[in-house]
Amino acid sequence: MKIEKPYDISKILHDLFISDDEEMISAVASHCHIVTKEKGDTIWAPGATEDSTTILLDGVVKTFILSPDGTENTLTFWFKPGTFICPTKEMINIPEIWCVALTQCTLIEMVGTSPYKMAEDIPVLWKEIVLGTLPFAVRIMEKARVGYTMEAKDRYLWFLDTFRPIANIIPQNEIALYLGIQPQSLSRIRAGLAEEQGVTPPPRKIT
Amino acid sequence: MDNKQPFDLHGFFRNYLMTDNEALIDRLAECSRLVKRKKGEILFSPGVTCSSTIFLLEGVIKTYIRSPDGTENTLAFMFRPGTCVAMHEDMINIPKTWCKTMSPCTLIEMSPGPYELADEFPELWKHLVTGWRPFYYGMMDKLRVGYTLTAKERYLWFLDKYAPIIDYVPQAEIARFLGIKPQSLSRIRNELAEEGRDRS
Repeated sequence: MKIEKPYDISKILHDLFISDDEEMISAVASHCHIVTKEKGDTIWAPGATEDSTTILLDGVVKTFILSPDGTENTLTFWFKPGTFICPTKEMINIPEIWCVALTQCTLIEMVGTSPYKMAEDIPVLWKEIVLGTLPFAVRIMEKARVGYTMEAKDRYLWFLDTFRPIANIIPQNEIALYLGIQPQSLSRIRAGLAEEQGVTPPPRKIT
Repeated sequence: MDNKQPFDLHGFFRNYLMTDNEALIDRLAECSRLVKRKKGEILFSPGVTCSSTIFLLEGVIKTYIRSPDGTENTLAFMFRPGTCVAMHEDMINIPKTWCKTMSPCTLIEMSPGPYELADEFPELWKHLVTGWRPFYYGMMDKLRVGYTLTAKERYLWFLDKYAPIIDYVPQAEIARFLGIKPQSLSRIRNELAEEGRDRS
């Protein structure tokens, strides 16, 4: 999804949603504003008292579960402009999921309500919620498949393919942890791929 | 369940959805059938061309991903009567998810399912949101357990959550599900037995 500046919330919602219901889009837009988050800022965290609804316009975020030793176990990285992330507070609190900005980010944030609450009065939103949350479930399951079915090198190639625009933003140790590879093994894999040439392209700037 | 009376699909959907939309109930009943499956039967597998929707009435099923060596890596066990498994085709085909019975089961199988019927009956989108939640919470809670609990705590979590189906899941499969080596699980079970806590 291509999102042009200056950011127009209504236009973005028009492009994001399947429905062209003007009343729904106007109602949702009235509760949205654009925010900038700095690298490291928390977007949502366990203990949330409200649902969280954001649309990523620019930048990279990650969702993770925190181990007792402080390790951030990443569930997924989000970076595509137009990514719609809308967990209820239960979806955040029961599994204890965090979401933080990995870079400076620009987001549409919904305040004071959520699509789930609004959908009780504007039922067309239920479809948008299903279609918006489906990619998250598929991504989690796909990562499980990669972990169960692929050797370390293939897992890294999958990572490069899935996260190519942000591969050079994610610290190598974090990639290793995400893929269940020892850091030294990842270094070896990367050196091998660099020798094979063309598999690790030069970094691409996110616009 | 009384095997002599035909199963009342209309009544089932009326209660399940708590709706008085008779056209919707008729359509759902038309797309559904009551089925009895033996242990080990595949309910859905990668390669589907539409969604797959199952209501579990009796028995135990699991969703899993297969390793190249044939290992079945369980994502979730389901056993509560009335559990709905509504898998969009992307959830089956992209991660290559399978589903099979772990015991004789009685199920309602629906085709087409709510994703395909929802454009005709938009209220189904809301039911998909609420129907997804047990699957989502189950999957995410298992991740949390894996990242935050010790092996013994993970086994206690399993005993607590899956107490009714302990006898249906082989110990090696429990170990794999919890990311514990089989010999470690045996040790944990012995410790808990000494403490009087192993309910299996």
